Amino acid sequence: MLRILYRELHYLLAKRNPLIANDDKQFQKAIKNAMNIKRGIGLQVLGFLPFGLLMASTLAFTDEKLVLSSLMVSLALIPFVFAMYVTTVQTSYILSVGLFEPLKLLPIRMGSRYLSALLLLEISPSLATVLPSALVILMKYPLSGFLAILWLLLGLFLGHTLGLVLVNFFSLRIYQRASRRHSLRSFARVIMFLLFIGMFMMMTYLQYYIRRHSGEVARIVGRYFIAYPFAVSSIFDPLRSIGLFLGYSITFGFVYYLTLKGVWKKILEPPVVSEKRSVSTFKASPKSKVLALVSKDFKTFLRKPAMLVAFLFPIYIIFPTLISALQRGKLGLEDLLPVIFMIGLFSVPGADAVLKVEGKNLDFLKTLPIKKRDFVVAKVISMTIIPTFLALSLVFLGLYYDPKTFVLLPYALFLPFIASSITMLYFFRYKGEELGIPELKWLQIILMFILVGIVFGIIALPIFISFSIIESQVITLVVALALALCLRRLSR
Amino acid sequence: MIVVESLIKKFGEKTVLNGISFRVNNGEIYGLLGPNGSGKSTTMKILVGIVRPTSGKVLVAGIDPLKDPIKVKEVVGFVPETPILYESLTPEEFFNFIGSVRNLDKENLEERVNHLVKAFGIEEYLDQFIGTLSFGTQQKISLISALLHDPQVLVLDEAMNGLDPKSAKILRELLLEFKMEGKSIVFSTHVLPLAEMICDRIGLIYRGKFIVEGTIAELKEKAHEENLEDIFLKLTESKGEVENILQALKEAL
Repeated sequence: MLRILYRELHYLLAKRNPLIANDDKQFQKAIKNAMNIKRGIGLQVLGFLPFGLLMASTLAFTDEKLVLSSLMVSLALIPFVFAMYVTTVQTSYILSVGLFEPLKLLPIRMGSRYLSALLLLEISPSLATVLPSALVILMKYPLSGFLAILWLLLGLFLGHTLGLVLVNFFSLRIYQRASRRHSLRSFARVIMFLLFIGMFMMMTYLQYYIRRHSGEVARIVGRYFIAYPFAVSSIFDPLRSIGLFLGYSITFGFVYYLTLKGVWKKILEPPVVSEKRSVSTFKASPKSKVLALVSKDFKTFLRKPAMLVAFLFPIYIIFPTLISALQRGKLGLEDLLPVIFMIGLFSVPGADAVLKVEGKNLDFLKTLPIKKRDFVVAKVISMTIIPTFLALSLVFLGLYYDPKTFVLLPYALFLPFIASSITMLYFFRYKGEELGIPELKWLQIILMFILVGIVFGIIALPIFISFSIIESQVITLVVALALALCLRRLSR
Repeated sequence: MIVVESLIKKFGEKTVLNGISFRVNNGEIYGLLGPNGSGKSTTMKILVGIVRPTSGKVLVAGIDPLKDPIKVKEVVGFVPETPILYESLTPEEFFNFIGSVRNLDKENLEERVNHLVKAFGIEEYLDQFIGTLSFGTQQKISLISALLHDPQVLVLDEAMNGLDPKSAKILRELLLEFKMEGKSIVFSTHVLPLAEMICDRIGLIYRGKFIVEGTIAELKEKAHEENLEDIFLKLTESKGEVENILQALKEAL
């Protein structure tokens, strides 16, 4: 069953990818690769492994238990966040393309276990980024290394379970009528969930401190060992670590089982929420093509909150800054500059959400007179809106503490646009007018991070060399303008 | 007008269309008939520019869908065999989206939607999410969205699927009206009496090839049969097969 679902999912992904779908030979080759589970996962593991080895190398040169456990705390976030992200986004996509429709007709007791297994297959290669580090510890301290591996696997399971909880609560409900109240309610729920998860995300802040004052922070980490991922710091205290591990496993195992039951029940028969009827005649409000596409995307996001969560991921980046500002009562230019660059950089994964939102509707879009340029520009705007809003909010918050932060305005306005444009121009580089959804693999997203990182590096260069923000901003504007021209020329 | 010459479409090693040719004049309803998997839907998707042919020539209202797919989509209204719609939008939002993408002005869009919505009886569903509506209502939404821009050419793949008798009758009358206005209509259906009723000419496609083409009278004469169903079964070599299958089923069940 799992093999059939995996093959079907990857067949659908390949079919929607215009870079290969129009070339019969390439298509056959791509589906041969993508539909083979071992080969597909093996290739992804190979892609992730260099990053894993790079991270492991930082652990190789120290034997200090405190430093090793502190670094493991940071690393343990990677499978957790990755699993939660992939579970929320991919589930919405899988269900929207109707992958589970044929199973509904069969006498299957809990088909969601196949959904979960399919997602875990997709998520598992990400372990290649963290397992080498755990193996380094294993070689030095076998029992602690073994516990580190268990904690990393647990992190993946926790992220996956929380992703499923999110899907169960937000994604599988059918609202019969559209209303502003319904959209606001969805949005409020998402923000509540993000704030909750943000408590975990704040802990990434540690990595920065660990590098600078590892001993001091590691002691603080030790005090708060119960919360994940801090609990991972207990690997050198085996009894406590095993106790915590079992506690988490049993609790979340139970949550996982109940959630799977709920998810399957809702896949079979999505609950319908009905509200009073209000419309009987049609009111036209035509917009431009691009705006119509953007507005459609955001309506869909608001009505599929699991996708919205994935889309709002850049919010995590501002949590530490906000908390730091609140704690210190200070928010200066030097605090905000790197955060705004990071928000820009983290516009990149938004590509996954804005393209997957189309699902099976791509075939319908293809019947409409939409130029590739309009489609791509709309997707760039959809990707850009939330990061730009976040970056602008930070700049305005900064103004309260320090008026000089106003000079960051051009970065807040253009960096998310630059990152989104580079990403979309890369994915839609194929010739011809046909609309399509490029297959977004994590390796490509990482490649985009690197590419956008290089461009951002060039933009930031004058600041590093001569502390010249003006020169850097001129480069920002030139790059933004050049990309806007490239987008404009896309359909010529 | 639609012109199709020597159209070939291969999916990998499999040849789905094997050199079909036909022409649909202005003011004509052309019935594309054939068993499941014969290549009707692929032909229609090539006409509207969403599938590329392997070889052959296609002109829709004088435009080559390969060279200018956007222009073709501007003049064609297409109803696929299964409605593909944005399930998290309401019909009202969906029609506004289509109107925007097709650059329709506010008054024209409002007038056309309200007329069509009333004709197909879906006023009460305008603010419900499309995903919660029945198949028939979704089919009506798909039909309305294909007619909003007053297309010169209509390509309807099993458009009567799921429609109630009243809506089916309205659609039939609308098609005859469009024919009078000089539009070209390609229409596929498995409801053979319906095809007999509204199509001016019929092309019978079987295993990717045309096996016969002409008016109903011409087909009757060629096949020496009285109705389209018998013509269909005879020409697709299914008549004897159907009898054998029925006999085997009776014995088995």
